Amino acid sequence: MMSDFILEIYGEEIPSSAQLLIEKSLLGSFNDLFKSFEIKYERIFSYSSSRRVVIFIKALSKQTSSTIKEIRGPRTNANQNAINGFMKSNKITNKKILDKKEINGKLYFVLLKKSNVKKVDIILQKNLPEILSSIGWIKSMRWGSNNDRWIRPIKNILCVFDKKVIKFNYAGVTSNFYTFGNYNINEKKIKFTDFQKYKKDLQKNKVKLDRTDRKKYIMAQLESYCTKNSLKKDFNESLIDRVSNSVEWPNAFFGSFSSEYFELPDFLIENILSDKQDYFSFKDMKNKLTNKFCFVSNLEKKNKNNLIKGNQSVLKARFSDAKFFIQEDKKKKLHERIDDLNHIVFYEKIGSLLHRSHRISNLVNEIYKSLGMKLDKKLNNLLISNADLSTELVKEFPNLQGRVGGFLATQEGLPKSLCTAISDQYNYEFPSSYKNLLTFVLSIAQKFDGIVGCFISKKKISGSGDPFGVRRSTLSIIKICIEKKLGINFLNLFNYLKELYVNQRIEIDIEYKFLDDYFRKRIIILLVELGFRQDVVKSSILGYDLNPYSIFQRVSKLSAFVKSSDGKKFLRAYKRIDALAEDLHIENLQSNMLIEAEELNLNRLLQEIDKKIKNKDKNFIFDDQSILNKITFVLNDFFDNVTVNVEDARIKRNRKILISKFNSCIKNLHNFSLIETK
Amino acid sequence: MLTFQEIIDNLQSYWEDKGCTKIQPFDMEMGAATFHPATALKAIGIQPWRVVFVQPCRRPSDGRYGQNPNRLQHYYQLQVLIKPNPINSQELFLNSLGAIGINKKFNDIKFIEDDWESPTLGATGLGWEIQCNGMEISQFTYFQQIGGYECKPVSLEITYGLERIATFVQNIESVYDIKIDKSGLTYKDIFLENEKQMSFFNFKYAPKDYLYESFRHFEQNSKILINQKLPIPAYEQCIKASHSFNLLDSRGLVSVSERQAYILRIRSLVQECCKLVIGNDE
Repeated sequence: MMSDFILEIYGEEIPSSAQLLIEKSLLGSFNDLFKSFEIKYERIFSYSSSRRVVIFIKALSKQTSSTIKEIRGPRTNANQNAINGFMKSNKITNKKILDKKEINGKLYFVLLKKSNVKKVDIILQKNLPEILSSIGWIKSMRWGSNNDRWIRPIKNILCVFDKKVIKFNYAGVTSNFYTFGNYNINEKKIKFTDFQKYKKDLQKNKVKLDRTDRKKYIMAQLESYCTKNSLKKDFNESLIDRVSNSVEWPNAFFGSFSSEYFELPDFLIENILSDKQDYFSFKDMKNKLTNKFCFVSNLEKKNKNNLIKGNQSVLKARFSDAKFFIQEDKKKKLHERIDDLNHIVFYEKIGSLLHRSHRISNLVNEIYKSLGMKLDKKLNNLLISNADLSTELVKEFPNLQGRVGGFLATQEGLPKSLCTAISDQYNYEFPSSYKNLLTFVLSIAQKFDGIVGCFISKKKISGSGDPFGVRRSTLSIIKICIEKKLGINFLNLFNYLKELYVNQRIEIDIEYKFLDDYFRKRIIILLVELGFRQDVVKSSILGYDLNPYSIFQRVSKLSAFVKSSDGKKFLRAYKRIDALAEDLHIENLQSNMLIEAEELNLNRLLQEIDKKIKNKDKNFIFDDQSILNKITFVLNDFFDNVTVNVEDARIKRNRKILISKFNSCIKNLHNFSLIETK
Repeated sequence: MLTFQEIIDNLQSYWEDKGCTKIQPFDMEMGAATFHPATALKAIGIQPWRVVFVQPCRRPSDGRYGQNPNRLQHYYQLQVLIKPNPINSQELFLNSLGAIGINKKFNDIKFIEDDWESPTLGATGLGWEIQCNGMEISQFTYFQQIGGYECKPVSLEITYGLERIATFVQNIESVYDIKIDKSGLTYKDIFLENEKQMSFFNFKYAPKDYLYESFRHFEQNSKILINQKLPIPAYEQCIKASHSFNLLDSRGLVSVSERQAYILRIRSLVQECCKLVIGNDE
């Protein structure tokens, strides 16, 4: 007793980014519903486009199967009250209904409860509004006066099971038998009979329901155009996704723009084509950008002249705007723009962009110095790194800041490494193949100055949003330090920056502690995201220099160690001392009162480690694991053979001092007490 | 071929037929018709509201010294606000395009996702940018929040970019060639010189110190008026502050980072105004 089920929510244009999310959420909700009622089905499919979301279930049971559920009651020899209570809670008056069953050698009353067969259409009818209202939206809306939400207003709900409409109401719309053809063409009302016919009817009315079909259709048209015109078949995947989600019948139209606009940099042309207009651009076989473009529309080819002309003239206007900006911008060289920065407020109370440029330039040199390097003289021209912020092009395309500076610097013939650094400084991530050190350092310097500047000016960033991009910048510089292996101490950097502010007569009234906490929290988030255990990360971060790369190294080594069998043994031994240690580590230890060989060994090891700490970096402990194994052995030997709580109060206290000193010394190496042992 | 004036008349008549009251522009410089109190202060609260009006808008940084065919620092928007939004909002809009000769069967009308927000007004809405053959001609928005307050019921706001639409309808490439009326007068005759001179003002001569000072001054006034529980004049001061900020921006005196801070300052005032308006409404 199976039949097909269809649900189609038809409405105003669904944004591309939301389509798959709705499908996924609906699939999850239907699966949960079927699981909880034990409803069987053969297969479930989902589809979405700019106007509709569809769930199709092939061969869905018309009713739930009857099941027998066994409810265990009290033992057969239990007192009458318990038995009465069990009967009452299960609404039974006659004890004879109960069976008896032996479980683990004991006899119990059991009630075999037969569940009623339920009709699936009734279950669906009852649950569909709930399913629609429980989508995990990132964004959704209300419309009119109702309170139900969807991504955009719903116009129609088609819901049929077993050839009958499942009647329900959501957001003021009552479900029915109908669907609609392509909205832009005729929006013909179509009666649903079965799924195969539904798909055919849609196809006939210019709707390709399946996203894969739409994508294939776009690709085929693009490829055939490329073959005819000897162009490279290299298409922007995310644009294909976006475009195939924006129309139900993707006809491709091809246009061109005047080659006079090739004086614009390629990144700008491509930005206008794909980001602003959702057009495909084309490269020739030599990888050179051509003046051809493609856009996709629901409309039929017979209207092509009108459409192509319109889209070409839009592009012309956009390019001519960009050309105007570039011509204006080229009139002034980057170094001549430095003074203009003096008139642009960076953040209130912390000076102009020129002040910022000076700080960035100094910070870059300081970072090089801290890495034991010196910035090449030819590259030390960083006051211009921000100069593009005064250009018309950046005012018009703020997301191209940096890229514009890099382009203008290249036009002026400045060194390549400097141009690249200016161009890419605002990137939040860099691929592993990216090597230009100056980019990383400039990126860290400008973001660090931006973060500190924002905190000085705004005091705090409240809420979960990131209106000034500070959280994103923070994560970015931590990532750069870790991925590019740059050991930079942020405390030193902060102190240096503070001096720069003082020299600029800018009052800086934030405490390092605040910034330190802020950065540490982000380092923890990032390292946990990278897959490290939170306890391991926390133990490696609190109390150590704020140097993301060295923290990362420490966490990596410690992670490997705690997973090893030596590590596990060490932690068990360590927990023994940590449990007994008191706040006595500053007391004097009486060496002459150490009697047992094991406590003398412990004391000797304490001296040895103390000496090492004085001479070396604390990380030595993970580089030389023999010392950890030694600690494990000496600690276990001590606790196995020496009693701490002896009667002689002086010896007892002296041993506690020894334990406390040892514990404090290990904590100096690493805070193992924060690591959880199972 | 419809003239600029006929496009305005046709759209206004169309919406008047649909029950909207024709009202007049607001007499202050504003960046978008949404700032008109008939939109910003009427989209909140529960009372039904249906209006259509033309609003001159100023976006100083969009000035191009009259050299760009479709960028202007002063232009006209026609705005429709209907609360609650009609069930057939989208059809009504498409039919309104029909009233000015734009037929969806022959022109590619696309609804491009544009979760509109006016950071300054603390307003958000979901809707689309409407493109006709690739050119943005309108904004279509279901208001969800103004001044941080939920819009219940939801208003529909449609904003028509009149110059863009006119270039399309008249099949011309430059806004300056728009025929204003049957007399043959063009947009160039009325506005070209204005665009040139005002671009100089916006980019070069708008007095820097005065702008900083006026922004603070309007902000302060608004605070005083809010304390006096006078949301309407307080809101007018926000409109003025917003224009000072737009001029600071066109003069290139505000960095991308600080721009956000200015916007937040105006937004918090608008929020206070809305709070008072809602209080009065209830």
